Amino acid sequence: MTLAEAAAAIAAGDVSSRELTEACLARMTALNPKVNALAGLDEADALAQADAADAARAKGTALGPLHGVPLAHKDMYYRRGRVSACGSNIRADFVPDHTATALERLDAAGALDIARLNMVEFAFGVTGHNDVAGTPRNPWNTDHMTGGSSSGSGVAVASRMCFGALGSDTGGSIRLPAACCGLVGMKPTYGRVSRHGAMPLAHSLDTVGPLTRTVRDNALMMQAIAGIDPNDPVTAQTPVGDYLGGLDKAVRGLKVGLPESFFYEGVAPEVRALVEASLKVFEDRGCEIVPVKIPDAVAVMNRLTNLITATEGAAVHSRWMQERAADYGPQTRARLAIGLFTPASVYLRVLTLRKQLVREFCDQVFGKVDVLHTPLMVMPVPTLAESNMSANPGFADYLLKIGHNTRPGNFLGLPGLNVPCGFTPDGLPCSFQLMGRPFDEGLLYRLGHAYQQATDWHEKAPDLG
Amino acid sequence: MTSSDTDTGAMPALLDWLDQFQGFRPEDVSLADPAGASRNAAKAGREAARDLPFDADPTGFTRLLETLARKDA
Repeated sequence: MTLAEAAAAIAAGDVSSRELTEACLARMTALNPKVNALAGLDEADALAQADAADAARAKGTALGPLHGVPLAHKDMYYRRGRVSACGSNIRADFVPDHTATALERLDAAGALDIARLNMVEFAFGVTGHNDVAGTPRNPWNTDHMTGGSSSGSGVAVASRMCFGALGSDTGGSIRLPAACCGLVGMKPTYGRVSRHGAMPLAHSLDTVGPLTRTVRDNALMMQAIAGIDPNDPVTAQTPVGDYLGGLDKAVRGLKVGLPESFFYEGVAPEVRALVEASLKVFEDRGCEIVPVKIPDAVAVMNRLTNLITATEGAAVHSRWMQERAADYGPQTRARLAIGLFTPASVYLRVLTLRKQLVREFCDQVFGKVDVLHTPLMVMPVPTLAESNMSANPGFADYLLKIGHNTRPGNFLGLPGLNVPCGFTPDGLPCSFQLMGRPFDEGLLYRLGHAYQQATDWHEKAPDLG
Repeated sequence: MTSSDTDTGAMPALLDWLDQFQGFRPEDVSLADPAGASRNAAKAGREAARDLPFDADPTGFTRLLETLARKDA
């Protein structure tokens, strides 16, 4: 049952919120020892939320679009009075005095929030490893990495512990775990979703978005959380589109861009084959596949994104780096330390260049095509061992390779949708990415939904026994 | 701040610096006083950035993205 199906079944009275919540809690109990998705669970509270949702329905209260549906979220979305540890020892006992705007909006839509999900320490990492809170395991093969930093979100949704989860994306942290775990993940346009009450990593790059099993589910969650928020001054005034209403519109005649450079650099043959096959699905649906030249500057955006992240992250963490350096995991501490040494002149020049480069990119790419279609990762999902930065001397190069196709989207502030498109011969999921103009989330959802209507990859489930 | 204020000639210098950044190994330096290192780096950066045009306001970036959105939506 998908999130959309669960919401419809609750609204129709075919199933209760309590029944679905009990089923999710049972899977958490049974599977978490294998996959380590959970950062915190209060079963009594989850069931109380479900009972309240069922009681509201019984009284005839107007129901929100997510009424009674059990969700769970990355442990960096603050809820007043509840611990939010951010995958760290340093915030292990942190109890916020306010609730994140994204959670308030999901609450208003009727969703339940049944668990806190594991994550990379302070969201600073793309592999999913966490030296202090434990590393989640990929449900498709527990020897492989989950992707990060929204590692627990990817694992929990893929393992059917909940129907959807919030992640956050600063350099690929929604799209990478979605890709590694076989899910749909949306990194929205910078400014589309409020970050108020979400732990900051890099304020110039941070975005909030959902991980789900289907595109429709993702659009349902995004519809609930998107929009301007006076508590986050970077949120946009641009009206939120009707994502759900646009899902079934025709895609015939849309121009899907095939990048002539950069995004296929170093791509593994088995990944290329699956991604190219997904392109054929769009062609069969009447889309026009258009080769498109990619601006040369994209080649440096991966590293520029790393620079901004490390620099702004170091500013956030400078006091703790001084007072509690030993409480960080070694990978996080090392990456934050790099940011302490960025000259302000370099940082400011990068931010200035960013504005010019996004204009150039939109003009050169989206002047010719409606969306850009790329591999999400250029490699099959690595094992935990080969992606363990603590043991890997190719530290910087390996991180750059994992985020090769995600970080340009963060640097440019553009929306990116991850959609699963099959499995590599080792049985791990593989995905393509659709990138669009600013605030074109609706078009990405329409195309992603058209793809899922023609394929059944999203119906596959990992066998966890 | 306009697009013409952006110095595209800054890219080679940035890339040179990035090469150093990517090769940087934090374990090679003393982390005994990271806050002090941060202060020194920020001071040096402020001096280097004096008189340079820049725009680091993230709300301005959102406004720019809004101008680049699809016009026929």
